[in-house]
Order: sequence, then structure tokens, then C-alpha cells
Amino acid sequence: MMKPRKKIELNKELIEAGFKVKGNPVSSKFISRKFGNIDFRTMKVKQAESLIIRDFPYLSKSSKKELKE
Amino acid sequence: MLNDVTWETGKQNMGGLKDSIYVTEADNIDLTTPLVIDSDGKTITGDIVLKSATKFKKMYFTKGTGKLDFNVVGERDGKSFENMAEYNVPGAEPANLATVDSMLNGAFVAIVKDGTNFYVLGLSKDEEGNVTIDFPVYTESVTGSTGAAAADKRGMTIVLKSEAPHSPLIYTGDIDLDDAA
Repeated sequence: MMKPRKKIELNKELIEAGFKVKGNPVSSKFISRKFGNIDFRTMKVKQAESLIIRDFPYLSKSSKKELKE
Repeated sequence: MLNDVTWETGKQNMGGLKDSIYVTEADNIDLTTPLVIDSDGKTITGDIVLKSATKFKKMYFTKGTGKLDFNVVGERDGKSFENMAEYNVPGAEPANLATVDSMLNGAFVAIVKDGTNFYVLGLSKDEEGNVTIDFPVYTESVTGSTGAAAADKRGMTIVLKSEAPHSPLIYTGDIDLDDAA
């Protein structure tokens, strides 16, 4: 079983837009060789969407339908 | 592991370190989930996990001054590597001076980046392939000066050194910059 890492904090704007952290990122703020500087506390919706398009492994977004439910 | 030595024509091969130097105390590394070496024998797969409330510190250096040297030392049948990162920190900012002071007598792990790879100093691979902190990084030297003439360099040249049975390991994981719990 994978050991839990540090507590991950996603900012309110992203939560309200339907984003969720998935997988096991090393922390809320890190440097990724492929994706550059990541900071879940200050990330904007536009950056989050761009990351998902580029197959960033630690973010997912609920559809509008799922959000309404 | 003895491989064919190859080179792909047209591949980029620019010198010098870029980005920043990332340093954390060796005690901060959490190896309860062991790091794994890729089948290439040199690349650490997965993330370096740090203990709660610790992080890698990001250290600026003057571009064009950062380099990673890895040199064989010792006698025949007893050879190993000295892996050294050298870089210049400009100025004499109090926080930077205090950082250097605090790094004089302690064990660290450092990550540096060139045009192609991240390299880890202070983590090493034993004969069974386990990643250990048996040979951490220490400050080898700090040469600081205000300079004398207006055009002289004002700052510090820092050399971090780790001794290891191999050249630096390559790191493909993420670098933790968050000291939250």
C-alpha cells in the first residue's frame, strides 16, 4: 500500500470549477520536469485546463453534469 | 552494466547548468518507500519524498557559472567518483550568507539540472541496486569576495561535493518545494 504523502491543498477557484487532485503528487507545490512549476494553491483555471490537455497525471475535472449532481 | 556507447547525430548537447540548484538536508529524505533505479542502471524512477514540514530549497545562481563535475579518484581496483556542483551566487545578501553558513557542516542532497537531465547528488546506488543516503553532499568550499575593482565579481563561488561509487544518478521525478505538513 502506498504511503500517504503531504496534505494536498487545491485552491477554492479550482474546486468550484470542478477540478480534483488525483494520484499521489509529492506535495502542493513542486517542480515537474515535464510540466514545470506546479502550485495547487495558486493555480488558475486556465493553467489547470492546459495541464489536463497535456496529460498532467495529478488533476481531473468533473463534467458540468457531474457538478450539478 | 557494459553497454554499446552510442550517440545520436543531431542530438542537442549544450553545456552548463540551468534553472536553479535544489538542496535539502539529508535527514529530510523519507526512504520508507524505497526509490527504484530504472533498468538503465542510472535513473531514479518515482519522486524523492520528503518528511513532513520539509522541502527542497531553491537556490539561484548566476547563469554561465554552474557546472557539475564528476571525476574518478582513487587507485586501481579502488576507484570511485567525486561528484561536484559548482556555482556562483551573486552579492552578499544576508539570507544567502546565512544559508552558506548553515551548510558548512552538514549533510545534504542536491539536485542540479543541465540542458537534458536533472542529476541528484547525495543519493547513491549500492551493489544490490538500492538507493541510499550513504554518501550525502557536503560543502567542499566557499570562496567569497566583494571584489576590489568596480568590474570585479562580488559574490560567492560554492562547491558541493559527494563521494560515490558511481557518477551522478539521473532524476526524473518531481522536486518538492512545499514545507507543509
